[in-house]
Amino acid sequence: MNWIRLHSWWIILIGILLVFPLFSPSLFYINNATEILINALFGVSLNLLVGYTGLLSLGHCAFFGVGSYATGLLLREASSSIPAALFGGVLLSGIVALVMGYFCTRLTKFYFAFLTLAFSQIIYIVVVRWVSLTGGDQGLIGGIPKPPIHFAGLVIDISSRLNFYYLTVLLVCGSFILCKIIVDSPFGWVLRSIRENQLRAQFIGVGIRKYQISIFIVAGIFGALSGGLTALNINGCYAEHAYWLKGADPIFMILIGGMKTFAGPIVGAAVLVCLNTFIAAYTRFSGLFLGAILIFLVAFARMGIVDFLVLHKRKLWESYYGGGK
Amino acid sequence: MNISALYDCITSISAITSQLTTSIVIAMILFLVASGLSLIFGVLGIGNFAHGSLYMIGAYLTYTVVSTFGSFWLALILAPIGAGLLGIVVERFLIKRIYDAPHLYQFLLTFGLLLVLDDLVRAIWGFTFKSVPTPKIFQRPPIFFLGSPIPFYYVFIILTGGIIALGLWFTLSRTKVGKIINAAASDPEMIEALGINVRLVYTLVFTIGAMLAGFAGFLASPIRSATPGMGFSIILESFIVMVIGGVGSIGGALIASFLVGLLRSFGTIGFPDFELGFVFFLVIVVLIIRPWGIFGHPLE
Amino acid sequence: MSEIRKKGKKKVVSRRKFLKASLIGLAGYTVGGSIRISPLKAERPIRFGLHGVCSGPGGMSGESALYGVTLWAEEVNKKGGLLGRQVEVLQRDTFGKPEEAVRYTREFAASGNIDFIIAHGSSAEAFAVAAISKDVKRLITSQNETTEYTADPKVRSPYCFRFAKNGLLMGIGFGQYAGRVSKELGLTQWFTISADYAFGRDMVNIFVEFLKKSNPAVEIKGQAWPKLYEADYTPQISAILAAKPQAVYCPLWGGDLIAFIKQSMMYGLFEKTKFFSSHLGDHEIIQSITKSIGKLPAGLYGRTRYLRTVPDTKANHDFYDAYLKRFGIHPLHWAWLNYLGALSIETAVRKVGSVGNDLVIPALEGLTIKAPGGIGPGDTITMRARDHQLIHYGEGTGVTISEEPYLTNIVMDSWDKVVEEETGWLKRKGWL
Repeated sequence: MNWIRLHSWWIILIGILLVFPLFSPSLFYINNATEILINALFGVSLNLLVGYTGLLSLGHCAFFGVGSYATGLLLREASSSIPAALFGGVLLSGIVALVMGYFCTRLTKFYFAFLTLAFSQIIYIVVVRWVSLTGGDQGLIGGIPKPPIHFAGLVIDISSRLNFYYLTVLLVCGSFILCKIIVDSPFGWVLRSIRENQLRAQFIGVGIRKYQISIFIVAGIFGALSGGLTALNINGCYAEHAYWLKGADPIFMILIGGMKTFAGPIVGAAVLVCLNTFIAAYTRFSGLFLGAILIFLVAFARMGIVDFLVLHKRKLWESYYGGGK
Repeated sequence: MNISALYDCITSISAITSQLTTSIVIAMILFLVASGLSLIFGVLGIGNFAHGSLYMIGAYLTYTVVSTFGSFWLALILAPIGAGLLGIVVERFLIKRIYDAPHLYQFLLTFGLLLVLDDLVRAIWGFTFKSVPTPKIFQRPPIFFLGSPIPFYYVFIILTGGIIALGLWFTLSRTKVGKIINAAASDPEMIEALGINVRLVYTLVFTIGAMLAGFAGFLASPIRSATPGMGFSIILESFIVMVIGGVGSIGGALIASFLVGLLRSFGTIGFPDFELGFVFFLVIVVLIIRPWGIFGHPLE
Repeated sequence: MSEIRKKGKKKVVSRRKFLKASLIGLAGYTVGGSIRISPLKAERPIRFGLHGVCSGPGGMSGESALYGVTLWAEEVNKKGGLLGRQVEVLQRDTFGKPEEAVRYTREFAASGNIDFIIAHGSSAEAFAVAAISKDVKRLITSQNETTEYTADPKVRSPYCFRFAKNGLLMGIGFGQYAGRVSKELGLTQWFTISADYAFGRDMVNIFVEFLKKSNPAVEIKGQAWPKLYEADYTPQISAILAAKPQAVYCPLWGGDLIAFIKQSMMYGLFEKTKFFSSHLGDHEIIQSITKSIGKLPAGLYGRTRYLRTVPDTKANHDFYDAYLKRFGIHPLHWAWLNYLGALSIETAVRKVGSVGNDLVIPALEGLTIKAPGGIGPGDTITMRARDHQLIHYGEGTGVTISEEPYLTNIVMDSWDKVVEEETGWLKRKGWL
């Protein structure tokens, strides 16, 4: 009973997600919801690093790009099934994350951030220049095949937008649950201690790099999943998926929504997608507005939406800082 | 890969000269932007993602001055000053709020600024690029040096870049202002205790960096035109130069700029597909082996 | 910890308040979304939704696409509209990103109040849009020139129509012309420089194939592949000079071409080698070049793209002058081509009496109309049914001089010959 109360928000949210398409007048909202969910996963995966472990990674697009292209290529060239392709993307990304994490965690702060960026751009250049494999600048021409998924005797056709939406809900919410379990576990608390004070964490015997690399891999896995879902969603893989500007998106979500809670990036993703849609509809100067919002939030507000909302809710605040300080 | 083309190039004096000149020109413009970036990071501790936008503003201001007054040389003075003024405004109102903030916020603020400036440029000057005519004095056949044609304008770039590099080095190492700046980089509290206004020093350094970037934009505009997105394209390379050369080091920035220029220019011939990759490869190697760069100070 | 709470006041955001706030927010989003998509009564204006790159070096393609369609829309509206309804044009900037092009295509299709989609972005975007056109099942016109777009049956989409030149057709015409010139002037050592993306590669491959077919003595000494929208070509120009070719083929376009020519002038490249540019002809391009460097170098070989006098018909002059009067700039070929596209859609719509895409698409296939710039029988253009490619548009090659009209000695492509070669090429590829 207590468990339900504690997670009431999540249950309400998942309920809404499952039910609202029945009332939606057009595909417009379903498309948007799909986009928001996939972006939210991207944001949440980065927040595992930024918010929970204190690692600012500017190269998160690497996992997105790897996940996207691996999924796309497996579906096109290897005729694999959708679950297998997504898994392949996730697996490859995990390996990339292991290598990246190993080298990047030797550094701190700016140098850490910049090395992640540099690694991600090597991946970008490989994607852009290996034209025979990736289609280079123009991406994979001809779209991504979507073979129906065979599950428990059912055959689910993923080319229907509605079905794809439900698949997204399933995978993304499942990922959220997994991530939540991870950050609420003792492992997650060690991450927070590393974020707060690395030296002190070391003093109490924490093998910092091991934890950092581990969470790096986890973040890479979920980042890749969002990339693979994106490839399916937009029916293509583009070099932009690995470009560093893509990695800035989850950072915006974390800023807008707040990095101190799990839900922050999710709210941030929703706001960012809606903002982009709106702003693009009314003006050509989307960068101006987005940039101004960023500047305002950083220079004057210094906290995201969800952070602000839970500011005075002591219980949730303590869940971040770990009981009365 | 085109090793044969690279070989042909290396074995021909005129070809080497030609590519070397190109490298130096790329390096000079990059150096002007990166040295400012490096100074700002070294003294203020801020990784300014909007630094490339100051370069872009310099190019656009050059375009405006040239089309309004018809004088390229007037732009030489006004463009860096304009960029510098923008730098002062940005520093006083925005940058000062993030001095003690976590790196995430520094990135976000300067990135937000990058977005705003990029769109501002579109709003003021339009969406398509603006061409800056080559000044009349440079519209003459190229000079021939060791058998290869060198555009006259390139000589100008190399000379001015060199003069500024010398001037920077001299100011920072020999003058009182330079010593204060150096001190501010290592121990701001101490010099504040000595009665020097650290805030003023910070603004000064940021403005110098902005002016350098603006000047780079001025120099580059006849070759590369003024176009939205210029800020994005040069900022990554500037950070690379800063990291390789060592934060806060002018000499390091110069050497690193040359390295990048060489890689880009010879790389285009031998490895047209991967030439940009080499630059990133280099910075990754540096970050793994010697993260503080050529002339930087070892990290704590 | 206590600094976080406001001193004294304890603000508690109750669950109810939060729920209310988010419901209001959700309602606002719904309403806001509806404002954009409100399917009003049937008498709402007919809307053309454009998307593509509108800024940066490729930006002029977006701008001229908008102007071309706008000119047509204003003419139609003055005559009473289309099917009695006014025509509106709107545009979104994709910044050259295929992902954005896909997003806008989806958005336009799902919105319910955009009738025709014009995807005027570059080839990367066009291919992405073609892939998704089969999902959204909407008529989409494109101005991209890469061959595969219509020639490759695997890529071609039954919903997409190319109102633009075709890389293969262009390459055949230009390659043959260049072959003749190369035999006359003994140009056997060639160098190519082109942006490293689908269109760039496509153009070089086809041009070289037909150049060599026409003059087997030709040898390609070297190739440069700068990235698209590259600002600085100096390393490539140095490489070209080092290779000492006799002729250079350059399918760079828009801002890239202008930058390249400007930088090449600094090196005196055009005194050392002949220059063949597939995208030189537009008046605006030439104007920008002369503004930058003072004088257009003479003796460059350029395709005509779109010129007032090619073909030298009244209809062509009228369009050119009307555009110049309306927008103050000379029409670039993108403007003209999109005008043709809009004109064709208008004819098809009038024929079937509806804007329903499923009715208009079959009407467009094989449609032949009289149009400015058409050189088919009776000054017409035709939208070829087989592959949704526009044919019978006027194009040729000329040589530059330093003053108006800039391009002279124009030799027009012969459509029959070009189509003959095209058929042979497609058969060899197995695409026909």
